[in-house]
Amino acid sequence: MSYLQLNGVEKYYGDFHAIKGIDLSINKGEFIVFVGPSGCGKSTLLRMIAGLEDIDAGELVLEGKTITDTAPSKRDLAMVFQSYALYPHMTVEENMSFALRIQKQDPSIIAEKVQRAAAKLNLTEHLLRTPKELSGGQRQRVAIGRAIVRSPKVFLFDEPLSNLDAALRGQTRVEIAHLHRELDATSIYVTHDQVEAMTLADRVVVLQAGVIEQVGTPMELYDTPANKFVAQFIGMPQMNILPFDGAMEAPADAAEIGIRPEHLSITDAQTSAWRGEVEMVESLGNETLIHINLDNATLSRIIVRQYQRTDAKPGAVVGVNLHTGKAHFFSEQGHALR
Amino acid sequence: MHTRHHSNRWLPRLLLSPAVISLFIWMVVPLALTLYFSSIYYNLMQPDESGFAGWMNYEFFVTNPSFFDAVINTLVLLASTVIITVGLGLAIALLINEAFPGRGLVRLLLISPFFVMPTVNALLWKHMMMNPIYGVLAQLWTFFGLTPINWLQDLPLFSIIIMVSWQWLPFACLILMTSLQSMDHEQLEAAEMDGANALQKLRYMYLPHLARPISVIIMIEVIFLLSIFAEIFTTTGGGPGTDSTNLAFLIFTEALLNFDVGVASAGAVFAIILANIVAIFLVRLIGKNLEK
Ligand SMILES: Nc1ncnc2c1ncn2[C@@H]1O[C@H](COP(=O)(O)OP(=O)(O)OP(=O)(O)O)[C@@H](O)[C@H]1O
Ligand SMILES: [Mg+2]
Repeated sequence: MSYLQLNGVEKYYGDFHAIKGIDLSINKGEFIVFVGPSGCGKSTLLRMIAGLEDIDAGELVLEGKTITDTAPSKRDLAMVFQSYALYPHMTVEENMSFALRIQKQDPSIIAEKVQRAAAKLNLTEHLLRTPKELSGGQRQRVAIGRAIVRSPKVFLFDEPLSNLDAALRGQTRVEIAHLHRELDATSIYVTHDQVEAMTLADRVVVLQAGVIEQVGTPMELYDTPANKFVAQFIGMPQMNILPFDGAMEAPADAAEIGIRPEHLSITDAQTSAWRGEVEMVESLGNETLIHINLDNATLSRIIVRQYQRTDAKPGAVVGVNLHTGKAHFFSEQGHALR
Repeated sequence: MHTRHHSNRWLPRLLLSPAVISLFIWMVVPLALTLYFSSIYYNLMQPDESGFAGWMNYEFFVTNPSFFDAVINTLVLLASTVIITVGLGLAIALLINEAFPGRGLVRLLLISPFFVMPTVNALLWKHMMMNPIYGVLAQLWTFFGLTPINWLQDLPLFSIIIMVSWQWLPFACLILMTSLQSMDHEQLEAAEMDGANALQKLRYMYLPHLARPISVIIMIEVIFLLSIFAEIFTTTGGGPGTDSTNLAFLIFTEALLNFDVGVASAGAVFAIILANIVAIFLVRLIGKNLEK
């Protein structure tokens, strides 16, 4: 039984068809991440769930109740905005308690809820400050605290970490994962950062141009992408895509072959399947990325990832082998073939 | 370090001094002259009477039966106009904050009264709108079968308030409109998700955001409205009786109708004192807001 259900949800901005019929069912307690390239409609879809954008077609069902046209405040969802959207003239405490005060809840209950959320988020000492007296990371936690205090049915996050620096982003990511486990809350999280998607999600929804390309656990997306778009979108550096030359056993109709960089290895130029010239070597310490221009018919460029260091210099001619059974095949239309 | 810092100070001060000195003279000379005139007998109709008057001019001005009325009228005019312009200005600014076709034109029309000269404004209202026989308002009243109001005769101060408010509404509107543009949209959406209704959004989101521009509007309007003159001169002439006489107009009456420069100067000193009292109030009230 799904908790939040999207049935054929669509959105138009004038003539522009931004969301083209999304079907998705989300279970209670699940952490769902929307990823996709910029402009694919992630924020729009999230805002439609929140009620901040009208749903032009389809329906939205939460706990068996249709909420397609329900006002945002009546849906019992809480959103963490990218800009945090804290109320600048209110203290942290007032920010966090605003929704409850509007609902005219008992002040002692409000105070207790705020205290509990503040303790969880390490904000207890800052309760009397205003947002502008806080660091970026603290503001971010206030925004999350404001959502937690309401104990909503679903948490919505729109790129909550994009304003933080890399170190803080990593730390906050871990905190969000921890919070999610602790609260056991249903969450929908929008990001364009793959690492966030892969580490936080129970299931990832890959969107492109207003349609769902694939829904699955992070490892499903990585190991068995449904099509070329997902294959290339997930994984850094991108999957190498080469025209298929029939040199190995493959499903019928295979037009292209995709190989992840770590499934290739450098060998001796004489005995290898492919040969090419090293164009660039990126040594990252724990891993090494070797860019190679293949001297096959199409002169494709590929990246090889290895976890040992290399002596290969740009200009050297090397051989490339691929690990058996690790190749992905795609049809002319980009569908994965198995 | 410290000493060098100090010795370097004289050059900027020297360079600033012409401006500071001229501004100082600009302020001090009229003030000193006013104080001086207010302490001597100086009536253009009685040139033989002269010499030190002590507090006589002040006493004369204050005991003038019109004085108390003038102070009250000044404050009523000030307070009503500020309340009307800020209140209506806020309402209009909020109303046209949402995009709609023709918004640019509406904005232009809203702002245009500010470019009408005060005298012209007053004459327009006097003859076109408020004339009890052919004025637009009289026509309107007649259309609904009511007796037209003789605005300037029966409601002189209220009429002046209407004219001045009409003139200053665009100013308030303009400032509030621009400030609303800088209101963070996501904040409003967050408030909406938190369950705030329109009134609560006004109370908790818009008003705190607009506190500063509203303070600015009040400050500037107070400065200009304390000495309103042209509108009164061209319409009611301060009357009937003293019903629409404010301090500025009373001073004018003394100086140029009674030709008593001494008493008029004493009145001017009172006006300065009143302005300072209002200013202290305002600074107390608003200053905190501006510091934020
Ligand atoms: N108010 C609007 N009016 C018209 N078009 C809009 C509006 N909001 C979004 N769009 C369009 O809808 C599409 C999806 O926008 P959306 O903001 O959902 O993208 P996104 O996936 O969140 O991208 P990003 O990662 O850059 O935030 C974009 O092509 C955008 O131009
Ligand atoms: Mg977005």
